[in-house]
Amino acid sequence: MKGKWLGIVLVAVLMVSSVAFAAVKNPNTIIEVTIGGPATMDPHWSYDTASGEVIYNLYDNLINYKGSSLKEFEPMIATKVPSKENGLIKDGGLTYIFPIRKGVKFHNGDILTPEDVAYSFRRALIFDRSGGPVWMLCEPLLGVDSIEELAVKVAGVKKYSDMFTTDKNGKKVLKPQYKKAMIKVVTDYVNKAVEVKGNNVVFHLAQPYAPFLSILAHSGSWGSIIDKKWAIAQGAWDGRADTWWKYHDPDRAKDPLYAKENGSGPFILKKWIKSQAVILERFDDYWRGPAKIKEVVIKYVDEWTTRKLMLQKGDADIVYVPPANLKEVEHMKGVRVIKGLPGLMNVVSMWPWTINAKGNPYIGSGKLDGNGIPPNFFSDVHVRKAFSYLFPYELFIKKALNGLAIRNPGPLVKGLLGYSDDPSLFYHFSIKKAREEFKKAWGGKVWEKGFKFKIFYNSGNDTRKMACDMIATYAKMINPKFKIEPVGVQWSAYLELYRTEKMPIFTIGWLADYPDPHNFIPTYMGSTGAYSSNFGKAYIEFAKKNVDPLIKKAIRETDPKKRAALYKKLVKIAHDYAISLYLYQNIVFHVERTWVKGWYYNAIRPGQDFYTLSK
Amino acid sequence: MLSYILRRLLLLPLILFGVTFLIFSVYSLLSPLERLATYVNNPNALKSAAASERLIKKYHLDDPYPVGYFRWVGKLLKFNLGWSKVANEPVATAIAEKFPATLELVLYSIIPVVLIGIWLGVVSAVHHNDPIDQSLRIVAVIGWSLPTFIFGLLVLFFFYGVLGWLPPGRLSVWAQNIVYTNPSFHRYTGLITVDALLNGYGYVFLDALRHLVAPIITLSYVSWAYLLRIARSSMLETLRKDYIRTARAKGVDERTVIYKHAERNALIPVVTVAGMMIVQMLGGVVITETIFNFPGLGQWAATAAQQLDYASILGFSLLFAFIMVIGNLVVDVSYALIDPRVRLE
Repeated sequence: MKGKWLGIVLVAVLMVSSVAFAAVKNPNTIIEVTIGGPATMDPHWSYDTASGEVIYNLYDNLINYKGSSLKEFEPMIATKVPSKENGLIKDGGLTYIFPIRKGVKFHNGDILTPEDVAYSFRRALIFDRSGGPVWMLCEPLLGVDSIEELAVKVAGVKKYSDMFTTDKNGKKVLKPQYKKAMIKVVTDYVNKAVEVKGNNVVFHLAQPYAPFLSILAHSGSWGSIIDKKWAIAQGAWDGRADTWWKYHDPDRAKDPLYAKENGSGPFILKKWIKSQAVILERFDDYWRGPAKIKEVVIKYVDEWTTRKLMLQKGDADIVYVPPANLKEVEHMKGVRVIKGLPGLMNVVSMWPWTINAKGNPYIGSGKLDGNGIPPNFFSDVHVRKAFSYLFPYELFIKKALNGLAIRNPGPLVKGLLGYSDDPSLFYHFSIKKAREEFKKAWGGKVWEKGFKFKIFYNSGNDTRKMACDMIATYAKMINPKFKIEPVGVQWSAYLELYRTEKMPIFTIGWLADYPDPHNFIPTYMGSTGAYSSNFGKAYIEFAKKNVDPLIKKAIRETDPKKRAALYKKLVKIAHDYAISLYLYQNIVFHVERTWVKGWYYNAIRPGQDFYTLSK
Repeated sequence: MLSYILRRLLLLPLILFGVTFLIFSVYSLLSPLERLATYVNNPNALKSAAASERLIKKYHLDDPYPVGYFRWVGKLLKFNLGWSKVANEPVATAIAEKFPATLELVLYSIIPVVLIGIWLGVVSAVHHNDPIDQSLRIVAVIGWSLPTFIFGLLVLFFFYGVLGWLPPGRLSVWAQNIVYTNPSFHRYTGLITVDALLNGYGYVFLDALRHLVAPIITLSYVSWAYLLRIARSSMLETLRKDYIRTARAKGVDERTVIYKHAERNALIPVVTVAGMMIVQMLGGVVITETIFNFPGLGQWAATAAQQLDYASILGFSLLFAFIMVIGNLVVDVSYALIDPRVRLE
């Protein structure tokens, strides 16, 4: 009898559950459950995807990427996308003109003007926080990496800090003799780089810069248009040339816009509950018309099981799923998984051509005697080629990444200008060829004596660990005298070892800042690249001679076909000289409830575009 | 007793100094480039060597140890605990927001922990070695040995995943809107259940309570199992004492012997354990908070430790050291009050 009742109760529970599944939960609210959380609401500080996602939905840019495209743009605050054809790109790519849309309202009701646009970019340039994203604007507009670099040049000092002293109260103040030069930085450079002419905003570039539009189109950060009047009222830069250094590179606690917003985007920030949630409310006066959904809640939940159950119960509409857990949601009722979306990140194993040997225990004896490697071990192309043949690329993608990756021939990822699938540019796993190259390396000494060194991954990253394990295993398989020890270290230690050029091989990834080859090729190949500048003196010399001239030519080239050809040449150099071991480009997926409508993919967008979504 | 309390309180600054000095010493073992990791999660942020240098200078990462420590102390004297990178707000604000969440969870959890734990401990001891005792011992051993993350996930799966009754988080979306965005809702205490009642929002109170139940079950089960064992041992020891035998010989009824003569004395060590248990729980219950996405101190401190967010770690350590010292003091004083044989000197 008891069993019968239990059965009835269970059936009733299941029926109630199925009815609950059928009904759309929270029909006017999109709930995304993800990890992390935004660091700021200030577009000029933002350089992380969590902040970028929120800012993307609060602010507008001059232009945006068109739908899923990474190469086409659509006008936003500007009414036209500049091109040579429409006459808005002039002077051989040195002048960009943006006619500004009229009648656009900020969230507080202020009307957006060209002055707001100019202020936004000028503020970005003088703000330029350490470790921030503004170098992307400094490079094309000022021809330097940072405003500090420009100030140093203008003032003729050695370091930016040389221009400052501390007053009686311990406050940092500008030495009077440098005031004129500092004012000049804004009057002669910043203000001239971004000008207002009638209803247009005109950018004057320091050099022709092919990816300039791509940089401006990246929403959620440096390209966002802010309300000048409102920003000044909050305590942001007053726009004057004789004060800018007081607003440059502030502490986050002193950034007046870090927790506030007044954009012109489709949503208003209703509440930012730190490290818990962001609540956005529809902006009914949005110039493209109000969003379909009334409210957006982005919740930050670190525990995967909790996120999974929220998705299952319909309490979450969109959920971040780690690749390792994809199978758990693939057949979940009421859930849609969109797979095979090419990401804009690649992961590369790199070997400095000259390893810093000073106090370096990772290269053993420091000699080619079987118990170590010489610091310039990887300067021999045969060593690099041998390792390039040694790596089982396909097996690694299948085993370590569940197939969620593709291979790239060089540092350029698929989907960007100049990418080529030319099979001759790929190294393929071949024990035979690897053996041949090792036998040629260092006049046969490598094969005869063997070697011993350590290779690194940041601990906790199982994918990179597997890559290191595979390198070590196959090396030993080829020749038992080849001893490689994979070592996992904390991110902090990893950062130090990489900066001090002590790791014989290190593996790291690069997520695109903007979808252009210039964001990848110089990073991995240029003499001043974020990674390649740590490859040691021998490589720097090589890059200055063989790589930098092509990079410079490509950035100035405004014809896409000619640019593409230049990047193909660079990828060929990367292949021929086996500059690094190009492991994979990530493939991503999206998981949402089936009642969510209007989602589209754009690889460079930080997070979701809630404007197009409905339920 | 007053002089004892004052003497203990006077030790507090010294203890706080010692704790922070120790943490700062460990932190100073890292090189400036290693410390840089606190500010750089994404290698894109380090476009060049100059970018690293700028960050190191800006955040004084190359300061010698004493300079760095005393800079921090100087700020502390101005009530500035620094910036929590993990919480994205000042450390003091983060503590002010997260401590009430942990406090609320602990306060609600400790009631079943103490009541059930002690009661079952006494029952177990009274029925020494009979089936009730054996069963309770098994339950206690399971509770004590079952990892919180497994038990918590089971609770979450059953009560939320299967039944849909007890969702994770601290509030539902609609209630979150009321608490955080409705200007008429005042957050007097930070304890949402209390604030909801004070503001007259009964539905918010119920919603907050609903979100508390699952973490309370998880936290309570693990903790009362421990208390059960302590209470049982203490009770068994007391029941063997001569005065109990005398009471029984005098013909005092068994109920009075157990609950009047034995239990009161047996509970003295239990009070100490329970007191310290509360104090430790106030430092945050990392796993329970993480599983149930409960935004308390533990989750924050654990993430801060993982991300080398030393300002948060120092702020948390200060708070926890303060709680420990005060908590210990309260336990010692209450011990003396309960047991007149104990004299505080």
